Amino acid sequence: MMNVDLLFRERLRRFSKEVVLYGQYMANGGVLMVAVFLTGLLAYYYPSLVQAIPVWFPVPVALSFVIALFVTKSPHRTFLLEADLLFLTPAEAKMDRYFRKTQIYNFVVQSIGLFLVLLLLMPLYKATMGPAGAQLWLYWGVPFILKGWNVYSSWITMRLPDKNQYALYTLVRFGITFYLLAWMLSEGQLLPYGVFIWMGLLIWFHIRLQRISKGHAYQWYRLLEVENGLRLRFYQIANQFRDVPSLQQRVKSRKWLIWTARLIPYRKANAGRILFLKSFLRSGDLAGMYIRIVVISSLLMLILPGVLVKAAFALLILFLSAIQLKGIGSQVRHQSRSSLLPIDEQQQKSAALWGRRVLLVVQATVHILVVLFAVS
Amino acid sequence: MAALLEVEGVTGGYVSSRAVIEDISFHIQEREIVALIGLNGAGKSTIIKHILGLLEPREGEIRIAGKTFSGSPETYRHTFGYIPESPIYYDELTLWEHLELAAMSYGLDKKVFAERVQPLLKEFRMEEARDRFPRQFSKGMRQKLMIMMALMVQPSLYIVDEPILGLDPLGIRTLLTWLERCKEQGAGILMSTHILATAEKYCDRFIILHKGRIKAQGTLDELRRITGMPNHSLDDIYLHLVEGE
Repeated sequence: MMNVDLLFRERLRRFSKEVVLYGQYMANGGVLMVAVFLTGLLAYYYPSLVQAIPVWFPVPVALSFVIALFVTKSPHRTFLLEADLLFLTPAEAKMDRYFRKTQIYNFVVQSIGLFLVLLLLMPLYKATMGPAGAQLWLYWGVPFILKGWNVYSSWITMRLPDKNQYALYTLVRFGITFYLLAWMLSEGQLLPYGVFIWMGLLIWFHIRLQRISKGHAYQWYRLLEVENGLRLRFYQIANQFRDVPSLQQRVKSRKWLIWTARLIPYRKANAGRILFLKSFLRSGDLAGMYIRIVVISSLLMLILPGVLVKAAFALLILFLSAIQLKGIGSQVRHQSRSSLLPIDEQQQKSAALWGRRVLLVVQATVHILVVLFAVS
Repeated sequence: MAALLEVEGVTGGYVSSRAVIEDISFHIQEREIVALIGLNGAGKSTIIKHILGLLEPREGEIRIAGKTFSGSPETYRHTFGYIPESPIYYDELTLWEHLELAAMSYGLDKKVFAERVQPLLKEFRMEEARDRFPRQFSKGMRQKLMIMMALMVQPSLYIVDEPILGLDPLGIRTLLTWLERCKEQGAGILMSTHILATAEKYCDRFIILHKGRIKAQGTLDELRRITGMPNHSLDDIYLHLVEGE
């Protein structure tokens, strides 16, 4: 007999061990300081930001929209492993209990995130709407109830074999969530009678849910895909602080970027460069990190006062990028792949050196353009 | 005329205390397909690893076009085309990009690449997969990618490890016709397999390997003469040879 309770506890224990392990590295890293710094910056600018909101701006609707996004997004961690497709599928009927536990886990974890979002938006809400008493209780209560409902109902729609249909149901979930939040935050002002339509929609939605849970079995491959995606994301974040050995790189096709690699002329000597650039552009984490650094630093440079401060900041970022990019050349290549093509080690090394230079030049060029734009 | 591939008295394996293959000698000339036949664990892949220069022989010597691996490690591996048993590929490159990069790194002219790539894609029926990533491929399609990369370069020697497993029937036929065409144009091919019916039909000579040693080698007629089984198939001869122990 299989004990699913024990299984869940075991899986959760294994994951929390990883969280603690990588959590230590994250806490030690300098990035924490950056986060604190950014939070401070935000706290400083927040009041003036709230003041800058024009009177005609529909604050309740915008607030509800943002909160609804976080409430509706309910990714399901299930702690499934590849081998479970073979070993757990026979016990499918007993897995209901297991999945109920993962749902509770997901609700709790996502509620923490939701709490932070509500905390962040609270001053804005208070300053513009001036809520009091019951209204405040609603602000702190209703989003969590909706979160629970979203976790519950999205779990059922995960049984749909068709991804497009799942997306459609997600949209309906968002609509239901958004309307209730907007109605609540505007104190019933927004489409007051819409509530009846909303109730009808809710009842219809639940009838559909019933039908789905009767008509479809668990989509094991999809569950595993979602689980792997979420696990990968965790590893990718942790990987910024410490090399994660089990990190499987996900490759993205990035059609909008890959044309740059085609600019390199067809020549035997360029094979290493093309391999390097394409590998870089399609890598999930490296290119993503690089693009984020360039975009975020450019935005920050627009805010920062004075040309000199901007230039100093650009230099700092360039320095940081150079250090970060240094690692990518020495990335461990899969041993067997080295015999696939006659591109020797020397050629690969010089290609990586060339690639790093190109990336730094591109970054510097973007920053110079930003400064020129900001000054003019 | 020197043979394309010469294996002379090679003994080797993974650990020094135990030899997986012992005293292996054979050669491959231009215009011939030679089959390396043996049970699982007979030492086929070990021999191939030695030829590729991935394992170093403890005794004996391996020469491709007269050159040993230790003599010219940079260029040795470019002198033959290798089709591995389990496909290896770059996750970040599409099928087309693999072919293009292979052509580029082997120093093929862009025009030559353009001429060769279309017929390959067409005959292996991979045109629709040209912009997809090998990770999404089935085993057979990945195998086809390996085959196409090797065939496009058109080396004078091919080392083919279990090419038939995982390929669909049309793929097998296309591969074998291509290899025959390469042979007619002067290439030599070493093919490891345990599908004897196919080997009998397409290969000129056979090397029968058993427990790390060569039991017999030669053309089908020669093997028949050695075993004294004049009208038997390769299958029968092979079973007779290895079951005798």
